[in-house]
Amino acid sequence: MKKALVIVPNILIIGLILFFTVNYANAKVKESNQNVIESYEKMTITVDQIITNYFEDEQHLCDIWSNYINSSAEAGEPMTAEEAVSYIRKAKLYPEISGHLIFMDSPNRSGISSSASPKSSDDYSVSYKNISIFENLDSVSNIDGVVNLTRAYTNPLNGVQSIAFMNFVQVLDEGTGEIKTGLLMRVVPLSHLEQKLVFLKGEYETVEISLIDKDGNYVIHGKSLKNNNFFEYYRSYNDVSNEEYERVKNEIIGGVGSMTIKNSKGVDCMIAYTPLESLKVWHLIAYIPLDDLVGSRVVDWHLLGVVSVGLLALLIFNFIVLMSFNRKLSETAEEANQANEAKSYFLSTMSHDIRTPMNAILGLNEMVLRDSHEETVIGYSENIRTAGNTLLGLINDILDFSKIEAGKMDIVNVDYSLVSALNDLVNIVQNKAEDKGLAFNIDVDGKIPSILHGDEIRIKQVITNILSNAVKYTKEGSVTFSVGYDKIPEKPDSIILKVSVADTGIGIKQEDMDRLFKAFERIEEKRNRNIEGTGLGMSIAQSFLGMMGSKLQVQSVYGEGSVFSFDLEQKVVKWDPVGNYEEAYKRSLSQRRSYSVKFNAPHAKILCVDDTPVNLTVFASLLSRTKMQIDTAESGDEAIVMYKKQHYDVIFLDHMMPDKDGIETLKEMRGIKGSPNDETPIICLTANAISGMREMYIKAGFDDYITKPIDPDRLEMTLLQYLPKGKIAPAGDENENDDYVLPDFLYHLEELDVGAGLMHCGNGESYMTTLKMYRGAVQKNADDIEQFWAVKDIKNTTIKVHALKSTSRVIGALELGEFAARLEKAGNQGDADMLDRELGNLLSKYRKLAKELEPLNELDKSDEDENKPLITIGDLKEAYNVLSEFCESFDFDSVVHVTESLKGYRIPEEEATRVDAIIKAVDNYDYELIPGIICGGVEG
Amino acid sequence: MKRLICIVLVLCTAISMTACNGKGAGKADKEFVPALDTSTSCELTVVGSYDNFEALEAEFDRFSEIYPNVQLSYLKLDDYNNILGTVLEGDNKPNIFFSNAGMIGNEKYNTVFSHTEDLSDSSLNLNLDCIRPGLINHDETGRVLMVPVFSRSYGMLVNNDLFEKEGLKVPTTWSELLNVCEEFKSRGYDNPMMGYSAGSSSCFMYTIAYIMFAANLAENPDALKLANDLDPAAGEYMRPALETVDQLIQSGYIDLDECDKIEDNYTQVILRFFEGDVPMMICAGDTVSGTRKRESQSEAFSQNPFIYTFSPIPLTDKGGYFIDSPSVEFSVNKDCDNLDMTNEFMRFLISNKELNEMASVKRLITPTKDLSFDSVYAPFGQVPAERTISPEVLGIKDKLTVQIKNAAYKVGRGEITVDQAVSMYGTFE
Repeated sequence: MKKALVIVPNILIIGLILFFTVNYANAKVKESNQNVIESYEKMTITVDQIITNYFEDEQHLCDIWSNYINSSAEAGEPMTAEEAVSYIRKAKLYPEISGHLIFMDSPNRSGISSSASPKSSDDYSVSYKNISIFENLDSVSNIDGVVNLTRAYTNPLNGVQSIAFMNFVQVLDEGTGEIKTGLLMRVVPLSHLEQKLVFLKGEYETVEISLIDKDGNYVIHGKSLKNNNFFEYYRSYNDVSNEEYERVKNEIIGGVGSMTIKNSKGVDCMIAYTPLESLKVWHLIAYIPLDDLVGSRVVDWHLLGVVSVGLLALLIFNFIVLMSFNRKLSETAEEANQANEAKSYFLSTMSHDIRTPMNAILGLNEMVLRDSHEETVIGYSENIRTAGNTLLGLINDILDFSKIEAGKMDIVNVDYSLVSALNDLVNIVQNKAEDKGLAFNIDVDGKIPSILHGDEIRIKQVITNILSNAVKYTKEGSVTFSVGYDKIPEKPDSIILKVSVADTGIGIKQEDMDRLFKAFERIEEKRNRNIEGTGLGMSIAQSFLGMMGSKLQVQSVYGEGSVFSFDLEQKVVKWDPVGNYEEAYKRSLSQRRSYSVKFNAPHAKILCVDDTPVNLTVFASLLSRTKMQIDTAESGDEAIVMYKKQHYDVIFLDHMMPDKDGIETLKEMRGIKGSPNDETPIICLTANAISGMREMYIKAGFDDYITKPIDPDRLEMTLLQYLPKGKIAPAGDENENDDYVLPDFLYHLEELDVGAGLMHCGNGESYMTTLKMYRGAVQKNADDIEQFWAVKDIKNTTIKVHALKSTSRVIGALELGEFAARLEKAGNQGDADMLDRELGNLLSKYRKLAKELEPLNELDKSDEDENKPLITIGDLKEAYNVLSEFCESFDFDSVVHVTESLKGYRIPEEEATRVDAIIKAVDNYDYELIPGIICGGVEG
Repeated sequence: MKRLICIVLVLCTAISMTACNGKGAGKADKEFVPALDTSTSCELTVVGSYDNFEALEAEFDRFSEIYPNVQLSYLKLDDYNNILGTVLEGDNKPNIFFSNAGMIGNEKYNTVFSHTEDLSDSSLNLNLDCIRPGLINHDETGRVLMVPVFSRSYGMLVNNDLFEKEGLKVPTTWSELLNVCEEFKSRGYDNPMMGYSAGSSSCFMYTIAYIMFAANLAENPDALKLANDLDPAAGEYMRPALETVDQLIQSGYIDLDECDKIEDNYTQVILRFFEGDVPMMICAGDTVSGTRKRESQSEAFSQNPFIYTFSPIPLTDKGGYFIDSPSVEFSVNKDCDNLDMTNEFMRFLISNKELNEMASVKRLITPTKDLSFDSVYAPFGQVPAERTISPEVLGIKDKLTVQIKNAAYKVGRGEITVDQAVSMYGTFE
């Protein structure tokens, strides 16, 4: 697993948790702050109450003074200004508080103070001429509870910032003797008011209380609030629009509340405001830096830190654990990979090792099929081919599965003939069905287009698998193979090919349906253990169909049978209908056995390289009728020498060879510059058919790839593709091309019908070989028959007569064959008289024919002996001695070996009869006769 | 290597620019280094007559970055001139107080100066060299009892964009001024020049006349004494100034009726100029100080902002004059608490950087030698020394200014003729 897949989600989760934690903590802090702010707002109301109480108290004291002075006036004994101030001087408790009695109508708003000027202890005069604090004088009244207060101003007497509570008094004007109105001011230093707010210092250390009028002008000025007007101060240090400015103004003078503003240093501050209860036109502003009010976030950071560290620790722990698991998984995966590689290696080896001998088996068998005209032999050969193909099928299944598993299976679409494909399928299955006594029904819609475009090989594999399964699992009844089609309205150039296979077999249990398409699963293993198969067929079929966009459907009733079907979209190349398939099949059946070569290329020259001589023989034999010039080499080095010397049109190169394998040979060949074969295609010939091999060979530099066992058709098709077109001629009549010249005397033999013999043997050469074999066997066969009949062994006599019949017919000795047939029939019927009467006659004719064929022997000898070295008499005698010793010691293998050696020499005429007698004795396993022959007599 | 070359080039450039900036400055500013314990905790109070003094409060904030526990506050005293002496005698003694040159020699303020520290004392280490010499007042004993923090001058606000739009050059001589006015008139501008005219205080007639009268007196020291003594013979020296005022009005370049519509000599002057159709608005430097704040208050300026400067009025063919007077000055109360910290604050404040900063906030003319820092006042930095006049240094008394103010106002309004005004010198109140 990639580290990022672990780390990224974990970090995301940690991020989300931290995000939640921060938000939650912030929400809590906000909530806490909101509570603090609400408390702060409440504090302003408390302050308002305190100030109000203070103002009312001070006003009350001022009113006491004024009431006392006024009561004197009302009593008709008005005080003079001096008396009034003298009274105040006595009445006031605090020395810093003074009373000013001002006469507003005096030119300088002058009057008398209860305290002396600091400049002169005798000077009690005071003037408010240049101090504008009396704008609201009209509102000053005697009504109880109404506070008549000035703004903070500079006390003109002592220069101390003060506030004054006012009331009017009536005093006597000493000059005029009349009552005049004076303004009595109780002047209180501003510090007095500030002392009343000392209680705030505990909770709000840095709070500053200001009082402003409705225009924002400070009545009492907190030190941090700059300017002389609060609203101007706000505008100077807060970047706000005119609308916002007006809104803030209205909000502050409109009621109770709080807001955050920036001070002159750009620091966020909280102001709480409330109208002053005692003086509705004034407003209280409580200012405090925001951090001093809601500063404590330390706890939140602790929380965040602990959560972060905890989560990181968890992440690291998880990561370590996961990495540990990951390591183990990697090791396991590595082991699995190694096991898989071992499997691939095994498959590769198995493929190669099985296919190599299979090449010989099937190749040579193909030659037998081509060359043999003996029904029995052909029958055996057909069986070999069937068994071989079955074995190949099993191997191919495993290889296909390996390819599918490795994802290296490709679908290769080609144009194909549906009839041809169906023929192949029916050929494969029909015999199997008939062997099991099953009815094999074919139902093909005659209107299906004849040439389609698709992966013919895979489709055939799928259907073969289904049909083979149907036959395998059906004991009695029938297998019905149906092929139909539907048109596709939206795709006029395609059809849906509908294939189904119905059987009356054992069926599948519902619970086994799921296992049907699993690899290596065999349903009801115990019951079906006698049925061959790998358990891969259905899995492969389903995989192929999946790759082709289809799916295998199964309907089954356990014990009654199953229907396997699929629909497959195929493009149509030719819309010509296939017509009546059964007739077409019969036609193909009649042509089935006769192999016909696809082309002739007598001027083409090809080279085949393989370290196994038999494979070279098979290869050359399979292509013999193409008349190509075929050179062979048994090693890479030998091939390279030939490669350099002469031009080949195609080179077939085996992969697995000792010393220098095919790929190494190829590379060396391609490395040779200026050779006659620079442009020659080199095709890999290999038994290695495992998945991915084709890509490997093409990548290695091969032009193409043919697997062993060699498919003769495919071999010829491949050659057609690679041979120069100018060297390819159409295949002619084989007999016409048979240029083997038969000896004349054969045509003069009365007993022999040469034409019939040629027909049976295929060609002249084959006919000659057969004749020689026939002649060579006559003596022994005739002796055997006589011996069997001498003891009246009618059974073996009849078997031998049967062989005489068959072989005589093959060589064209038709009368002799008929004669033997009659006696065979008599033997079979136990007609001993007939045999007794005619057998001698038959053998006489048989031997007569052999005698007449003796010139063939001479021909052989003359052909062979011409090229052989002549053995000396001395050497020959030495050979006789050795043979005598081997016979005495019963070392017959050595006897055979010596005899074979003698065949390699031309024998002097005087000893020819003796040597022939020895060879014949060896051929007939009559080793005990050899010493006698050597000593003198030659027995016949 | 390239990096090294770049650094060297940048350093060279920076050094060159520093050298340029230092032109005219007495002593280059050094970074302020605290001389006291920066953890000192105390309170300092500056008292004055300004209703508010945000520029100074900004300096408080800057100083508190160095001395965070020093609490500075500005307090406006009611009836400042009368109460100052009392406050200095009282219990709550301020540390620094406003003062002005007029206080010196006035008996009323004798007690004030008995509390005032000599700021020329070298032990205080104040950088008085950064201030233009004409603005520093020495008493008869050579003491410096006050230092200016702003200066005051007279001139005209110029709508530079309007000049550029019309393809005209801002005039630098009297004849150019007349030509420009004529050009503007001809192009449909009814008021090439305007100014406050509704009252004698800070009216444009006084602004023009005072400059020329002061210049005339500067060239005739004998006449200065006559003028200060309110000798009628000095009236003749007013004549060129009064004739200039009369000419501008009579020529129609200044429409008195239009000027009368300007209701005050501060806000309304600025707002009228911000209407954007007046190329030149005659006013004092104090008026210019209100321009920045009113840019946003003027709807016309907000919609069509323009570049403007404050320039000398080119009243002669040689050019205009720079009347360079101290405006607000600070004195230190030597009897206050925390005198050391008070002097430390003064040492901090009296520097090119801080004085310029404060002048910039207040948009007043800086008292330092570097006038170029504020583009609005930059034209005054171009006036040569011979046409820079420091009335205080020259010895012009307040009573002299009363004469020229009234004479100019009355002539300008047509209440008296120039001849009458000349003959009435010494009688105006």
